[in-house]
Amino acid sequence: MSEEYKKRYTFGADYGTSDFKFGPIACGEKPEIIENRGYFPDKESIMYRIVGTPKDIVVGKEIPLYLEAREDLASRLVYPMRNGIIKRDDERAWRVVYEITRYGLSSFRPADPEFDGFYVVASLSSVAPKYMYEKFFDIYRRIDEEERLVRAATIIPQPLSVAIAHKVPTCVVLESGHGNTQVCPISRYPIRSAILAINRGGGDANALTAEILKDCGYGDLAREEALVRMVKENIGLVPLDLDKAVKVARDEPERFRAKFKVKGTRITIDLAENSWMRFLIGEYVFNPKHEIFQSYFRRGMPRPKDVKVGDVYFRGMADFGEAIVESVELCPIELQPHLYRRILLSGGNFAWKAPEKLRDVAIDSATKMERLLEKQGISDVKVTMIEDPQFSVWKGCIVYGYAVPEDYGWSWERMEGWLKFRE
Amino acid sequence: MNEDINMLIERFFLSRNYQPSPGDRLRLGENLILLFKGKGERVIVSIASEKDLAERNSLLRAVVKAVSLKGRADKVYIALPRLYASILDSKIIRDEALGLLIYDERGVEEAVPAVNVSSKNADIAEWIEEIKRLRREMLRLERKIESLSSEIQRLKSIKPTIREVEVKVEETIQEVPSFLKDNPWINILSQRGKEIE
Repeated sequence: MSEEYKKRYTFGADYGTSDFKFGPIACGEKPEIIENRGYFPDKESIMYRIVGTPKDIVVGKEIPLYLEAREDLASRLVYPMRNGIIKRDDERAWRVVYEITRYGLSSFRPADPEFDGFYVVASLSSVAPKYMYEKFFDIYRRIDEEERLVRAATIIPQPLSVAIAHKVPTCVVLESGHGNTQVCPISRYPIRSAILAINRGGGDANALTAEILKDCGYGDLAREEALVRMVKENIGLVPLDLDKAVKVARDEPERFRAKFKVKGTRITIDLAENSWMRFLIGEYVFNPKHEIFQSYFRRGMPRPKDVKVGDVYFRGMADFGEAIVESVELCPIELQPHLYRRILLSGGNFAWKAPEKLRDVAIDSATKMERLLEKQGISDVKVTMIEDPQFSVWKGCIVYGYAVPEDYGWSWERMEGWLKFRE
Repeated sequence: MNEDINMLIERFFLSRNYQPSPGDRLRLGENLILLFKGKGERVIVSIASEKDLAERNSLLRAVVKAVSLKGRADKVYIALPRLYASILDSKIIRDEALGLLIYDERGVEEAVPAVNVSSKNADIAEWIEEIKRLRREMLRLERKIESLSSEIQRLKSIKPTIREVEVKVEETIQEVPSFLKDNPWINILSQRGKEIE
């Protein structure tokens, strides 16, 4: 196949925790998006026996038509990419991945009679173990056998896609999602031996927000995860310096008052004189080691633990500044200053508001990261929050597929190149 | 509640420029039927309420009844409470060229649009005509191919002179997305494989 053919039929596939973003280069600036989930209908249901057998699994925009008002809904609705890793033997999760991939590729099958399969660039978490790569290639091979939709495939880590989409060849990408955070240095290649994983993400900030709600007399609401997340996003603040921020907020409770009305309900949450606690939420994301959090751990809030998932060790309590330094120090010394000079923050866990009137003590994520690195003795840094976080991984996939030569074969040693399923 | 549902469905069709037909309400077994006219077509809506669906097999019966109404209007909808609609395989509805309306106390939603059955029949007649036309065209092309192949045979006997022409390859993508423009990675990635050798 020619280079021109490959460029015309490059296809990006971003397997995010919540959404699957997919589409060929012809999509332009925005890919198609569906939720990264599959629904396994209860085939024993009497109603199904009456009106006809449904599919084994439903994915894409049809899911709401099949949902049942049942208690076991949670077990039938499978989100395969929680924390970026799928267990080797999690058959239902792999089934969902197969279905959404086939759905994505089929929905863009071109009418061109010359079409003979896409050049698919998939993007996975940087901590995805090797068996996940093997499983994904198996899925692409199977889809090609069944539908002749995949001429070749390759898989790249999500932080590399982010760096490519933002046109930065040398940088550190810090990606923080719901369940975990990845630190990935990049210098024309992802430096795999220096990738660091942290077992902490937006979910942990939710847990602390729930504790704060309990302490402020909203224990009944603290059980509702969606509400807790909303509270976190609306009242959480990242402090420049936690001790100073808490002192100022205690002295001026009205200026820092955290009051949040839940839209469409009668519920209003008011932290009143405890509004200084809103700074704990932001600090905990970046640095859970501050002594103020010890009392929460003692009272039973789970401490982020060091864990091993697949072949990867996830740190629990490392602050983000430490983590970046530790990761960069695993790279060649000559490269280290260049890596510190561009740090890209990506993921929903960095989306914090810094209201103008509180700017003396509340800051945004990029400034917080600069401060944490300053504490580690690193000063010449430029931290940037990425623009368009929703589609940047897909964009990186498209650039990668467009540029990498068609005849560059897949190598398990280098973990890159095109894997072809037929001659 | 039944009156409320009727009003919601009536409002749904009024907002789409349909008007209730004279004698617009009938009852067929347990299900209420509403008739609308507009856009040069007649629409029947067979409404099944939660009460109607209380019995075992009643959902199946409601679908069968809606199918039986197909000859009487251009489009036929079945309207179901949201809870029941969620367990109905939408493929069955589509295969039968029915439309599906889902309702609850907040409003009505068109989950599956109905197919205009009479225009579908007209389409089939058009397709038959098109097939006949294509067959004629195919015969014409076959004759043309025959004459061209004899022309090729004739040309083969003449020795051609070959001249090399430089062809400029145009960019595959006419309008380049912003993330591809001035991206240093294009150059870096295009060297993959070459730098190792």
